[in-house]
Amino acid sequence: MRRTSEKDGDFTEFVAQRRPELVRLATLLVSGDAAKAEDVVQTALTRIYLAWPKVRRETATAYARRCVVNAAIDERRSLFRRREQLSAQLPDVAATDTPHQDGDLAVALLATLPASMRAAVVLRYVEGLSIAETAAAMRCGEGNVKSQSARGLQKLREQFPARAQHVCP
Amino acid sequence: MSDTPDVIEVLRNLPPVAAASPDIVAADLERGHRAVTARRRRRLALSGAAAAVLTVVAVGAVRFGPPVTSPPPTASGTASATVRLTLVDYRGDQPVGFKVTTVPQGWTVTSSDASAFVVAPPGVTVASPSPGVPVSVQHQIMVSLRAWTTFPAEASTEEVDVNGRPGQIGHPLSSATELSDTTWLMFPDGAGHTVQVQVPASANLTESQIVRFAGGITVTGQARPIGG
Repeated sequence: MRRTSEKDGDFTEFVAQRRPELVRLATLLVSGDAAKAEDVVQTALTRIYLAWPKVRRETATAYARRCVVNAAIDERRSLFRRREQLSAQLPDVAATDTPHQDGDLAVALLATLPASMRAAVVLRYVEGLSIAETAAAMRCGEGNVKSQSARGLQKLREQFPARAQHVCP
Repeated sequence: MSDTPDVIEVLRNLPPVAAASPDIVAADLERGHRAVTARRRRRLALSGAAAAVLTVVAVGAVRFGPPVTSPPPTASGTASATVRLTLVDYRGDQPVGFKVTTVPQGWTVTSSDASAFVVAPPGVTVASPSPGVPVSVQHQIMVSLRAWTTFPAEASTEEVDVNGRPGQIGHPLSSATELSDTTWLMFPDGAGHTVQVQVPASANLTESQIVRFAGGITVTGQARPIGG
């Protein structure tokens, strides 16, 4: 076991380096809600700290990513949280403050995907993980990752050009 | 349409998240510290609950006679940490909750009921259980059904084979940051329970002996889990 001071030093260094990318991942997983993403990252980092003596440095980032995915899914499942209103169709007027931004539109489209499909798309295509890495992060089979990410990507691409044209004529 | 950006490219090129300030990182660390403290308190509370349950069920416990074996030849008459013990056939009365086939040579059954089976080395005096007084199992081997106990995140466990079923052997925490020298072995009994064997370092049993001892344990229908 590592000493507490050494453990804290390692953990602090890891958080300082990796926190921004974990926040970015969480933000995409919770459909752009910054406050919810911060909750998810804090939960994930607390779990990581508890397991830190067993976490190998070379796999720490992958482990952290998995904790963020789990925390995001837990966050959605929590009975004490407001349930997200999912819809197969985007509202006619985008619900963000800056609806004309492609980024906001893309994030809003992500929100229309089921949570696991969204995670597969984000990890596989946005974060650029391999199928095996995505499956490890989501704790599911590679076949599941392939089908979820492909269907999710197709749905996004079907919606995005049309929406982009609709919102930004 | 051709000048419409690809949705994935758009997501990849979202504005970057600002670096975390030292205050934010310190707050993450502080949350980690609090979680460790909370986990330690939770475990202590569960241990207390286990002791309380053990006390309640131990009130009617019968002190069994020693198995038909000779005590090990130690200079002081007590278990020696330097003498490697051997397992011998257990020929005493079988306990209610658990049946065992072997015990460390010279050890005696000090408590046996539906909640736990406890054996103590020669020279360890165990007070008769009294209502409301926790029963110490220090320096003794205890077999029970696991309720909530899990290996700490800090422990690295090893997978072992117990009668063809996957068991895990490792150590609990003795403090927030230190692992105990006590050994835990947890394995499924095939009937939906997880059996927990707790062996003190002073027993001086090897891991393979602990696994062999565990392999001789049969959980009866009367056994019930205790908290902790």
